[in-house]
Amino acid sequence: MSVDPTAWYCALNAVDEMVDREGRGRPGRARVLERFTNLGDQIFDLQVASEAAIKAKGITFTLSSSEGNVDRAWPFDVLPRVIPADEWRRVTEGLNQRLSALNHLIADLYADRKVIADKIVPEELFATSVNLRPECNGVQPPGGLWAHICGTDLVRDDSGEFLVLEDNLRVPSGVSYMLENRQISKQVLADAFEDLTILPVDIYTERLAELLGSLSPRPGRKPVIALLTPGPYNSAYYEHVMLAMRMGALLVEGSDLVVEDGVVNALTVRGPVRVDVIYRRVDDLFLDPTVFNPDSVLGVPGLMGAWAAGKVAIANAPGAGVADDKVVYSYVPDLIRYYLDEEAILPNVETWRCGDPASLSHVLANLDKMVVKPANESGGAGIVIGSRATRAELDKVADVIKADPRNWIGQPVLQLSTAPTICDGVVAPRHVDLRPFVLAGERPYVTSGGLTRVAMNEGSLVVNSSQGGGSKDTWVVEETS
Amino acid sequence: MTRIDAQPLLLSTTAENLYWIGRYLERTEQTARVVASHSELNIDLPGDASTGWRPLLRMIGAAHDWDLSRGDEGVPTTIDEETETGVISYLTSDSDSPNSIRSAIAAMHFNLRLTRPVVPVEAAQALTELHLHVELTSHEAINRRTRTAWLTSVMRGCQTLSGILSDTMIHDDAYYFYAVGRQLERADMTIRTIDVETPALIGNTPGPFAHLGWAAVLRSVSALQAFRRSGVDPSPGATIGFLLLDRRCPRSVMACFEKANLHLAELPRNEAARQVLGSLIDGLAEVDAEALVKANEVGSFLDTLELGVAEQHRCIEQTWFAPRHDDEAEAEPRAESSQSQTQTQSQTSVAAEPASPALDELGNAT
Repeated sequence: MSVDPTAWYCALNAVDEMVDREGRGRPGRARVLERFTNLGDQIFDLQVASEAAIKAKGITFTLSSSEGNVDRAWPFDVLPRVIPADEWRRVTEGLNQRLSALNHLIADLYADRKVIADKIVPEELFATSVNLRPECNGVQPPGGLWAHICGTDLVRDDSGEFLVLEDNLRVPSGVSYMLENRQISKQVLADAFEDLTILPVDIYTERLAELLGSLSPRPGRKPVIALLTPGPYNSAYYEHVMLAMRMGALLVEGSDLVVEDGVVNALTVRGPVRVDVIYRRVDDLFLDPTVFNPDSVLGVPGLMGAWAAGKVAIANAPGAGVADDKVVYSYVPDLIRYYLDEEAILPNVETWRCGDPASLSHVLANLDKMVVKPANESGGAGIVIGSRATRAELDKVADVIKADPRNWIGQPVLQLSTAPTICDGVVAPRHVDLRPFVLAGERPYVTSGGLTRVAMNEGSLVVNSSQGGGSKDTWVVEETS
Repeated sequence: MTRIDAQPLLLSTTAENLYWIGRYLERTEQTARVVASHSELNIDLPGDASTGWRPLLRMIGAAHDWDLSRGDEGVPTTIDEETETGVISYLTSDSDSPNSIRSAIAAMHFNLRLTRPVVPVEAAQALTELHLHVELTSHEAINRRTRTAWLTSVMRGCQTLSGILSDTMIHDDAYYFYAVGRQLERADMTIRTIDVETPALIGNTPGPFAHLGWAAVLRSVSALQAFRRSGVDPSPGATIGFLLLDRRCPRSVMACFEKANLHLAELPRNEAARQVLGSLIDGLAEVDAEALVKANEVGSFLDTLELGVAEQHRCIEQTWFAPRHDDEAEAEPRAESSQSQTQTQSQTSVAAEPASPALDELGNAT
């Protein structure tokens, strides 16, 4: 006997990931919804069990505060977010297309700059880009790839379509939590995995290792791969450990590496050993103090030279972050057309570039209805949501934008989609986004789903784990019936 | 340059952290054991026969730090309740004390973060459990009624961890660095225990309580039962000889040295380290404990032995852990060598890297 889903869960007015406006399972979700409604109150026990499993496994994230860094248990909601496999295939194509175009762009910018000569993007855009690295001009990394790994943030708008919110090309994080979330769901929802065809996510680390290995300057021998971490105080350290462990890579800090005779060596108990590929999880500016940041104790002196000479591969390549810019983002549909001669499969969120005078006046006139974002911040820094800001805050940001319009964009406030989430003993709608992870190269790969983040506070759109955000497993489900 | 492909690569820094996990693990377990046995001894002894709490601090090598932390206030020779609470919390629950069980486990847990790729997942989980357990329950060490049970739970947690490591961790270089650290710390603890208890053993404890001293020292190293079974008469010389030389006792100094020697034999570039240990073993083998007691030279012999262990530590550090650019002198050492001061490691690790810039790009999704 099945339970009426409308009695179990009632969505808001926003688009919901699980149910339609009448409260019935959306296409491709019916069987999953039925499973969960039939569980009744047991779902709350499963939530408790999942939290216990997270604690026992020691899955944490690091929260920085004035008191120092604290490890918190990773927040997880046991109800998965479901995406039909058909829809996901199209998203996958769109993500691959996008990363391909961005790689063309980066390679072009550090070489002939045809994209500027052909007037697809204005030169000024890069003249003031904080992530453009002139040190990279003329470098030709293996396979012409600069951005090997991308974490793309997707949201659904009111029409129910996926839109791209931003491309993270510098050091995107979160993939380990996607992997852990799946482990936890398999543990507490084992039955569901027998009955439903849920696409696996585990293969990500193998594909990442394969991609990294393919970059080795010494093909034909087993590559030595090192994951370069800023260390245990970094908020993503847990992830660095997990990825290194799963790939069999060395987990290194800058002080574990030295450049000698033009090659990068790791200092081991058996002596120095040459490293072929560095998967770096540190920002460009902390790679090599002799090039970027002389005061830094982080980094490896001489690393940039070894990379430019092709003696070591670095992923993502230094300078790749130039395409990780919210103004560049707004040109991606044009770039796809220019480099690939295709139309963008995944649309952008409508974006006004403040560097353009007409757009600037539109943004300033509608500040209270828009989200304004600085071009090159990350982790949500600097973003102002017009509808939630005070008049004084709006005036202040208007002045900041006017002083540096090139580095600001405006977007409409999006009503993110919701998904059923366990909150204080009831199943309630909460807003979610999605970060799939994309690997470039000859065999491009997109994770089946990705990391779904949830704004745990009612009505909130803030999904960051540092600000009370939670997470869900993401099930890409093949509907067989 | 050496090129090694067949061996799993092990960073020098990882090796160093594993070595310290071994030391902290042994130190934690042994601290719990001596606190338990010393507490029992002080309960048995009437006030005027008691040696107070200072011997306990000395056994753990914490007396000097204690004095510094207390200023003039208190050399704990008395056995009043306040002193007891102070010393016990200093050695168990006080997170500000560098010598507490709680700090040692926290340090181990931190080192685990740095070595997690080479430590079995099961072991990591066991250590996380132990860390949480101690964080939540260490106050139980203070009250005499709950103390023994709590200390036992800590010992069990340590034994679980060492069991998982020895039975599931692949015995490659990484394992042997851990194992060597453990044996050297164990040797250190046994040497200090003998050193502290020697006066009691030699017979300074008066009257009807004289036998309690040697029982406590043997219990401190889990050797009382075995010693009794051996049928040897518990003279000071026999007891000291047993703890120094009896290979059958896993906490005897000789057993620790010989095991460390076997572990070192598995490691690359081990010539210098094995040479130092070889001469320590040779020197120890020649000792006649009865003669030392008669000549009143136990203390000076133990001092020499302790210096030998410290030299062994420095040699290991220089061979495998220090930045090894023989011709470049600029590199800073990552950990100061300091004899049997296990705590220096956590401090230098913490100081090694400043908080890194925010690189997390799990951006705002608005």
